[in-house]
This record gives sequence, structure tokens and C-alpha cells, in this order.
Amino acid sequence: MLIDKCIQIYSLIHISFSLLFFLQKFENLTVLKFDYGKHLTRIHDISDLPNLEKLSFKWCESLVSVHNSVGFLTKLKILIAERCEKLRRFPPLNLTSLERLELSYCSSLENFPEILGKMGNIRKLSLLKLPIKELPDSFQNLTGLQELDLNCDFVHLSGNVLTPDLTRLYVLTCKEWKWLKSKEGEEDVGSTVSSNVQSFWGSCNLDDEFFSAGFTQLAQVRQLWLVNGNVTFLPERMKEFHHLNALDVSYCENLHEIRGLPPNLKSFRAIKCTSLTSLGSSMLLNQVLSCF
Amino acid sequence: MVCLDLSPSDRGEVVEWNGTAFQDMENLKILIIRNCKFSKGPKYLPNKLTVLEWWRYPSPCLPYDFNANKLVICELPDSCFTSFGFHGSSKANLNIFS
Repeated sequence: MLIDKCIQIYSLIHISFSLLFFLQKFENLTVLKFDYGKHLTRIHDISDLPNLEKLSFKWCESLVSVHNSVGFLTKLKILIAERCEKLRRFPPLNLTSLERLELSYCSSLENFPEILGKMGNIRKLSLLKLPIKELPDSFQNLTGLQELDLNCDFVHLSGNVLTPDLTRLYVLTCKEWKWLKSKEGEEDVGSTVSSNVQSFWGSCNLDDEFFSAGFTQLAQVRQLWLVNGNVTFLPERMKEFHHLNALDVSYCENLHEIRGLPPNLKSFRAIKCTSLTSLGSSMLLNQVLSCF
Repeated sequence: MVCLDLSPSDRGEVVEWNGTAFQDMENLKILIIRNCKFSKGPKYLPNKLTVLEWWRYPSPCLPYDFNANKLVICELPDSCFTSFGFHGSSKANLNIFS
């Protein structure tokens, strides 16, 4: 009997909630934060928050599920979900007003969320310590992106994510990072797509393929830092980097040969390039002298 | 009273109360509680609240009759509930499932 009563009461409450569901919305709520919720495991449907501008649930270490409605909040400007370490999937995003997206340190998140439509208000994006391997093609819907910082162990980047406004690309401490081949496997994406990247910082295991595969992607580059990489030589095609004025290859301990240098170089650093022999150095000096 | 900011510097203090203290604060619009732990959750919250910031909110649910229709900012960091969702009605308000 008692159980029946409870079920009846629950049903009444449930029905009353359901009726009101169609009558009222949380029109006024603009900021919702559930940070540091150690026990939070699920975020249910929040589509009844039409004016939400900021949603934050960072450091929710038990969170495993985020409802798809999070990706359809049309007025959302800030979405912070960093350091949710058990989160394996993030819903697709169609957040036309979004200006800031924080997903770093979600150490189980293997895929960057699909971007369903144009989201042109994000200027800067940092993806730090995520287990993602590549960025989806829909990443190019982030049309306003100017600065991208990647610090993930294994990232393969295809040219089509280098959106026209992207001018600064930093790739830090990746164990394995490279330009991705096109899907047909015939040709590097980089040889067909030109980007506007002007500043590239690659502090990871970049090897000689970095130049062969990514030459076109760096056609506009002005500053190039290849610190601590595995490159063994600077190719002759370096002469074609007409815009490059600062080049740093410090701590590239395998670098032993410099076949070409950019014509408009103003700053060159090669600290602790221990394989750069006297022959290599003299080649460098010859190049430098011919430059000036 | 319109605004109540309880942010004592002594973090370890547990505030013993019966959960009804806000019944006499019907006009309260801003409630901020940081750095202190309450022994139990509130039995009542004023319906005029526009800002609710309560760190370590001590209960898995908000008061059942709290009408959150005027709420603009809701921040409940470091709280104990396991999931949350909004089921449409302001009566149902923040439907926090324990």
C-alpha cells in the first residue's frame, strides 16, 4: 500500500512537472556553473535555458555524459568543460554565439566534437593534454579562429583545418605530430591547400617530413620556431619562404646540414645544434652572407 | 535584506542550522555563500533570488517549492549532487537528481 501511495504521489508530481514544462521556461538564467562537482556524473537536457550565456562544469572528475542539448544553446558565449577526466564523448556543437570553448585536460576525450554549423566567434582555441589524434573536417566551421594551440601527444593535422583567418599555430610537446595525408592518399593536403599561418611554433618531434608535407601550409609564415625537433637538414626550398624573417632551430640536435635559407631572414637562432659541423656552419655562414 | 554575502575566512567552520533561516528574507535577491559548510540544505529559498552562488551546497536538491523563475546567475560549485537537468517548470526548478 505504501509503495502504491508513493508511486501515485510520484506520478502526480511528474505529471504536474510535465504540464508546467510547456508553460514556462527559465527565460532569465544566463549563468550556470557546476564546477568542481566531484560526484556529478550526468548533465541532462538543458534545452529549456534559451538565454544561457555561460555554462561551466570544469573539474567534474566523475562526469561521463553531457546531453546533446548543450550543443544547441543559441546564445551561449562561454562553454567551460576542462579537466572532466572521465568524459569520453562531447556532443556535436552548433553554438553560433560561442566565443570561448575550454576542453583541455579532458584526458579521456578521444574526439574533438563535430562542429555542425558556422561558429565564427571563437578567436582563440587551446587544446591541451587531450588524447585526440586528429581534428574533424568540420573543424573548419570555426571560421573566425585566429590562434590555435595544440599540446596533445599524437596529433595529425590536415590542411583543411587551417581556416583562412588562422595566423598563429603553436604545436607543443607532441610526441607524434605531422601533416595528415589527404584521404585519397595520393597527395599531401598541404601541397594543394595554402594557409595564412604567419607564426608557427613547433616544439616537438618534427622531422624532415615536416617540410616536405607542409611546405604550402607555411607559405605565408613569418616566424618559424622548430625548437627541439628531429630535422636533419633545412631543405633548399627554404629559399622560397619569402615572408620568413625569424627562424629558430635551437636544440635540433640532429640538424647537420643547411641547404637553403629564406631570402628575407632577419633573425636566426641555432643554439645547441650539436650535429651542426664546422662544414655545416660554414655553409650557414655562406648562406647568411649571401642573404645580407 | 537584498544581498547576503557569507564568505568567512575560516574555512573549517560548519554552520549548524535548521534550514529555515531564509524564510524571513523574502526580498533577498542575491545570496552568496563561500568558504563555509552548512550542516544541511535550505528548506526554503526566496523566490525573488536573481543570484544564487553557493559553494559546497550541502544538499542533493533545491527546496521543492523554490520558484527559480527570476534566477539569472546560478553557481553551485563543489556540490554533492550527481546529475542535473531542467525539466521546464520553474516549480520543478533546478531538478537536481541525487
